[in-house]
Amino acid sequence: MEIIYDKNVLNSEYTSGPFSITEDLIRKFKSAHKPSELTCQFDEGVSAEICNLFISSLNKPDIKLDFGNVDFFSGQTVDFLSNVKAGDKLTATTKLLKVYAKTGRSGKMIFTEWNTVFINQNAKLISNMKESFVRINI
Amino acid sequence: MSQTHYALGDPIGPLEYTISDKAVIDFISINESPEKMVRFSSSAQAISKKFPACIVPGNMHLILLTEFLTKSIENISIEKIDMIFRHVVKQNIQLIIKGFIINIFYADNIKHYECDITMKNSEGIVLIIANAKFIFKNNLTIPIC
Repeated sequence: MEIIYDKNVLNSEYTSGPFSITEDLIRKFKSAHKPSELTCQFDEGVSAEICNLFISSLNKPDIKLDFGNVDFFSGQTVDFLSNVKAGDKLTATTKLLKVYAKTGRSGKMIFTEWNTVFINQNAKLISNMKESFVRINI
Repeated sequence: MSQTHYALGDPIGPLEYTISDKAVIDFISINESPEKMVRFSSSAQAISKKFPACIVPGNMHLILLTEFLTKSIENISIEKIDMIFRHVVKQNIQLIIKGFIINIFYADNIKHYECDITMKNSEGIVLIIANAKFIFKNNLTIPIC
Protein backbone atom coordinates (compact mmCIF):
# COMPACT_ATOMS: atom_id res chain seq x y z
CA MET A 1 0.00 0.00 0.00
CA GLU A 2 1.40 3.35 -1.01
CA ILE A 3 2.06 5.92 1.69
CA ILE A 4 0.61 9.22 0.63
CA TYR A 5 2.60 12.29 1.69
CA ASP A 6 4.38 15.25 0.19
CA LYS A 7 7.46 13.58 -1.26
CA ASN A 8 9.00 16.93 -2.12
CA VAL A 9 9.94 17.22 1.54
CA LEU A 10 12.07 14.08 1.43
CA ASN A 11 15.78 14.97 1.79
CA SER A 12 15.11 18.70 1.46
CA GLU A 13 17.01 20.72 4.06
CA TYR A 14 15.30 23.10 6.45
CA THR A 15 17.29 25.50 8.59
CA SER A 16 16.34 26.64 12.08
CA GLY A 17 17.85 29.09 14.49
CA PRO A 18 20.01 30.67 15.54
CA PHE A 19 19.36 29.36 19.02
CA SER A 20 21.20 31.46 21.58
CA ILE A 21 22.89 29.68 24.45
CA THR A 22 22.78 32.08 27.36
CA GLU A 23 23.92 31.72 30.94
CA ASP A 24 20.30 32.00 31.97
CA LEU A 25 19.28 29.17 29.64
CA ILE A 26 22.09 26.96 30.95
CA ARG A 27 21.18 27.74 34.55
CA LYS A 28 17.52 26.91 33.95
CA PHE A 29 18.44 23.79 32.03
CA LYS A 30 20.70 22.57 34.78
CA SER A 31 18.14 23.11 37.48
CA ALA A 32 14.74 22.55 35.96
CA HIS A 33 14.63 19.14 34.43
CA LYS A 34 16.34 17.01 36.98
CA PRO A 35 14.75 15.04 39.76
CA SER A 36 15.69 16.53 43.10
CA GLU A 37 18.13 13.80 43.97
CA LEU A 38 20.20 14.41 40.86
CA THR A 39 22.88 17.03 40.61
CA CYS A 40 24.43 18.37 37.48
CA GLN A 41 28.05 17.55 36.83
CA PHE A 42 28.80 19.55 33.74
CA ASP A 43 32.07 21.33 34.20
CA GLU A 44 33.16 21.97 30.64
CA GLY A 45 30.18 23.85 29.28
CA VAL A 46 26.99 22.01 28.66
CA SER A 47 26.68 18.72 26.91
CA ALA A 48 24.99 18.58 23.51
CA GLU A 49 21.89 17.24 25.21
CA ILE A 50 20.81 20.87 25.58
CA CYS A 51 19.99 20.77 21.86
CA ASN A 52 16.94 18.74 22.82
CA LEU A 53 15.41 21.92 24.18
CA PHE A 54 15.07 23.23 20.64
CA ILE A 55 13.37 20.23 19.08
CA SER A 56 9.91 21.71 19.22
CA SER A 57 11.22 24.88 17.57
CA LEU A 58 12.79 23.16 14.60
CA ASN A 59 11.58 24.12 11.19
CA LYS A 60 9.88 20.95 9.99
CA PRO A 61 7.31 21.19 7.23
CA ASP A 62 3.99 19.42 7.32
CA ILE A 63 4.52 16.38 5.10
CA LYS A 64 0.76 16.07 4.59
CA LEU A 65 0.75 12.44 5.57
CA ASP A 66 -2.58 10.98 4.60
CA PHE A 67 -2.95 8.54 7.44
CA GLY A 68 -3.94 8.35 11.09
CA ASN A 69 -4.78 10.95 13.65
CA VAL A 70 -2.23 10.70 16.47
CA ASP A 71 1.53 11.26 16.45
CA PHE A 72 3.88 9.87 19.06
CA PHE A 73 7.56 10.41 19.55
CA SER A 74 8.93 6.92 18.97
CA GLY A 75 12.67 7.23 19.33
CA GLN A 76 15.77 9.32 19.19
CA THR A 77 19.46 8.83 18.51
CA VAL A 78 21.90 11.56 19.48
CA ASP A 79 25.61 11.81 18.84
CA PHE A 80 27.18 14.11 21.41
CA LEU A 81 29.90 15.70 19.32
CA SER A 82 30.88 18.86 21.24
CA ASN A 83 29.86 20.76 24.32
CA VAL A 84 28.29 24.19 24.13
CA LYS A 85 28.85 27.25 26.27
CA ALA A 86 27.17 30.54 27.02
CA GLY A 87 27.47 32.88 24.08
CA ASP A 88 27.20 30.15 21.48
CA LYS A 89 24.62 30.44 18.75
CA LEU A 90 23.43 27.15 17.33
CA THR A 91 21.96 26.54 13.92
CA ALA A 92 20.09 23.39 12.99
CA THR A 93 19.63 21.78 9.60
CA THR A 94 16.83 19.27 9.41
CA LYS A 95 15.75 16.89 6.71
CA LEU A 96 13.24 14.10 6.36
CA LEU A 97 15.14 10.85 5.91
CA LYS A 98 12.40 8.32 5.31
CA VAL A 99 8.77 7.42 5.68
CA TYR A 100 7.79 3.81 6.11
CA ALA A 101 5.01 1.58 7.37
CA LYS A 102 4.92 -1.20 9.92
CA THR A 103 2.09 -3.31 11.20
CA GLY A 104 1.81 -4.07 14.89
CA ARG A 105 -0.82 -5.48 17.24
CA SER A 106 -2.73 -2.24 17.05
CA GLY A 107 -2.64 -2.18 13.27
CA LYS A 108 -0.80 -0.11 10.74
CA MET A 109 1.70 2.52 11.81
CA ILE A 110 3.55 5.04 9.69
CA PHE A 111 7.00 6.09 10.85
CA THR A 112 8.79 9.24 9.85
CA GLU A 113 12.49 9.76 10.50
CA TRP A 114 14.12 13.17 10.62
CA ASN A 115 17.79 14.01 10.92
CA THR A 116 19.00 17.25 12.43
CA VAL A 117 22.55 18.52 12.63
CA PHE A 118 23.37 21.27 15.12
CA ILE A 119 26.42 23.45 14.56
CA ASN A 120 27.70 26.47 16.46
CA GLN A 121 28.67 29.90 15.14
CA ASN A 122 32.07 28.53 14.09
CA ALA A 123 30.49 25.70 12.11
CA LYS A 124 31.68 23.22 14.71
CA LEU A 125 29.48 20.14 14.90
CA ILE A 126 27.62 19.98 18.18
CA SER A 127 25.12 17.20 17.72
CA ASN A 128 23.76 14.85 15.12
CA MET A 129 20.26 13.87 16.04
CA LYS A 130 17.82 11.42 14.51
CA GLU A 131 14.20 11.53 15.63
CA SER A 132 11.47 9.04 14.83
CA PHE A 133 7.75 9.65 15.05
CA VAL A 134 4.94 7.23 14.58
CA ARG A 135 1.46 8.04 13.42
CA ILE A 136 -1.38 5.72 14.24
CA ASN A 137 -5.11 5.71 13.86
CA ILE A 138 -7.14 5.70 17.07
CA MET B 1 36.48 6.79 45.40
CA SER B 2 34.34 6.42 42.34
CA GLN B 3 34.42 3.35 40.16
CA THR B 4 36.49 3.91 37.03
CA HIS B 5 36.57 0.43 35.62
CA TYR B 6 33.66 -1.59 34.41
CA ALA B 7 33.49 -5.11 33.06
CA LEU B 8 31.00 -6.76 30.78
CA GLY B 9 27.72 -7.35 32.58
CA ASP B 10 28.38 -4.83 35.34
CA PRO B 11 25.17 -3.14 36.43
CA ILE B 12 24.52 0.59 36.28
CA GLY B 13 22.01 1.95 38.74
CA PRO B 14 19.20 1.31 39.38
CA LEU B 15 17.74 4.72 39.96
CA GLU B 16 14.14 5.22 40.99
CA TYR B 17 12.26 8.45 40.62
CA THR B 18 9.11 10.13 39.51
CA ILE B 19 8.77 12.78 36.85
CA SER B 20 6.24 15.11 38.39
CA ASP B 21 3.85 17.37 36.53
CA LYS B 22 5.74 20.32 38.01
CA ALA B 23 9.04 18.99 36.67
CA VAL B 24 7.49 18.71 33.22
CA ILE B 25 6.15 22.26 33.32
CA ASP B 26 9.52 23.55 34.55
CA PHE B 27 11.22 21.72 31.71
CA ILE B 28 8.84 23.00 29.06
CA SER B 29 9.10 26.52 30.44
CA ILE B 30 12.85 26.68 29.86
CA ASN B 31 12.42 27.40 26.21
CA GLU B 32 8.73 27.32 25.35
CA SER B 33 5.57 29.00 26.38
CA PRO B 34 3.66 26.43 28.47
CA GLU B 35 0.49 27.58 26.73
CA LYS B 36 1.84 26.10 23.50
CA MET B 37 2.41 22.74 25.13
CA VAL B 38 -0.85 22.26 27.01
CA ARG B 39 -1.07 18.59 26.13
CA PHE B 40 1.70 18.09 28.67
CA SER B 41 0.06 20.14 31.41
CA SER B 42 -3.68 19.63 30.99
CA SER B 43 -5.28 16.20 31.29
CA ALA B 44 -8.28 17.35 29.31
CA GLN B 45 -6.08 18.60 26.48
CA ALA B 46 -3.99 15.44 26.53
CA ILE B 47 -7.06 13.22 26.30
CA SER B 48 -8.53 15.37 23.53
CA LYS B 49 -5.29 14.74 21.61
CA LYS B 50 -5.82 10.99 22.10
CA PHE B 51 -3.13 10.62 24.76
CA PRO B 52 -4.03 8.41 27.71
CA ALA B 53 -3.12 11.15 30.19
CA CYS B 54 -0.54 13.88 30.58
CA ILE B 55 2.69 12.34 29.42
CA VAL B 56 6.33 13.22 29.73
CA PRO B 57 7.59 15.10 26.65
CA GLY B 58 9.69 12.93 24.37
CA ASN B 59 12.65 15.28 24.38
CA MET B 60 12.85 15.13 28.18
CA HIS B 61 13.70 11.45 28.28
CA LEU B 62 17.06 11.62 26.59
CA ILE B 63 18.12 14.26 29.08
CA LEU B 64 16.97 12.07 31.95
CA LEU B 65 18.86 9.09 30.58
CA THR B 66 21.94 11.27 30.24
CA GLU B 67 21.54 12.30 33.86
CA PHE B 68 21.08 8.70 34.89
CA LEU B 69 24.42 7.78 33.36
CA THR B 70 26.39 10.78 34.59
CA LYS B 71 24.97 10.36 38.06
CA SER B 72 25.55 6.62 38.21
CA ILE B 73 29.06 6.72 36.75
CA GLU B 74 31.13 9.73 37.65
CA ASN B 75 33.41 11.56 35.27
CA ILE B 76 32.18 10.24 31.94
CA SER B 77 31.50 11.83 28.59
CA ILE B 78 28.59 10.37 26.71
CA GLU B 79 29.24 9.86 23.05
CA LYS B 80 25.92 8.55 21.86
CA ILE B 81 22.47 7.59 23.08
CA ASP B 82 19.92 5.63 21.10
CA MET B 83 16.46 5.44 22.64
CA ILE B 84 13.27 3.68 21.58
CA PHE B 85 9.87 4.20 23.16
CA ARG B 86 7.84 1.10 23.86
CA HIS B 87 5.04 2.97 25.63
CA VAL B 88 4.26 6.56 26.45
CA VAL B 89 5.51 7.62 29.86
CA LYS B 90 2.87 9.13 32.10
CA GLN B 91 3.70 11.85 34.58
CA ASN B 92 3.75 11.20 38.32
CA ILE B 93 4.46 7.50 38.15
CA GLN B 94 7.40 5.68 39.65
CA LEU B 95 10.13 4.92 37.13
CA ILE B 96 13.03 2.56 37.50
CA ILE B 97 16.04 3.09 35.27
CA LYS B 98 18.87 0.65 35.15
CA GLY B 99 21.52 -0.51 32.77
CA PHE B 100 24.43 -2.85 32.32
CA ILE B 101 27.64 -2.88 30.35
CA ILE B 102 27.32 -4.88 27.13
CA ASN B 103 30.52 -4.03 25.28
CA ILE B 104 33.99 -2.63 25.87
CA PHE B 105 36.18 -1.73 22.95
CA TYR B 106 39.16 0.39 21.99
CA ALA B 107 39.23 2.99 19.27
CA ASP B 108 42.15 5.37 18.80
CA ASN B 109 43.66 3.91 21.97
CA ILE B 110 40.67 5.07 23.98
CA LYS B 111 38.57 2.66 25.96
CA HIS B 112 34.92 2.95 25.06
CA TYR B 113 32.03 1.45 26.96
CA GLU B 114 28.62 0.50 25.64
CA CYS B 115 25.59 -0.15 27.81
CA ASP B 116 21.96 -1.06 27.47
CA ILE B 117 19.44 0.85 29.56
CA THR B 118 15.80 0.23 30.37
CA MET B 119 13.21 2.49 31.91
CA LYS B 120 10.38 0.53 33.51
CA ASN B 121 7.33 1.42 35.50
CA SER B 122 6.61 -0.05 38.93
CA GLU B 123 4.84 -3.02 37.32
CA GLY B 124 7.98 -3.92 35.43
CA ILE B 125 6.65 -2.87 32.05
CA VAL B 126 9.42 -1.59 29.82
CA LEU B 127 8.65 1.94 28.71
CA ILE B 128 11.94 2.82 27.05
CA ILE B 129 14.89 0.81 25.85
CA ALA B 130 18.14 2.58 25.14
CA ASN B 131 21.75 2.02 24.25
CA ALA B 132 24.57 4.39 25.10
CA LYS B 133 28.28 4.73 24.46
CA PHE B 134 30.58 6.63 26.77
CA ILE B 135 34.21 7.15 27.76
CA PHE B 136 35.80 8.30 30.96
CA LYS B 137 36.92 11.92 30.76
CA ASN B 138 40.36 11.19 32.15
CA ASN B 139 40.82 8.34 29.79
CA LEU B 140 44.27 6.80 30.05
CA THR B 141 45.80 5.58 26.87
CA ILE B 142 45.93 1.84 27.22
CA PRO B 143 47.86 -0.18 24.69
CA ILE B 144 45.95 -3.00 23.10
CA CYS B 145 47.90 -6.18 23.58
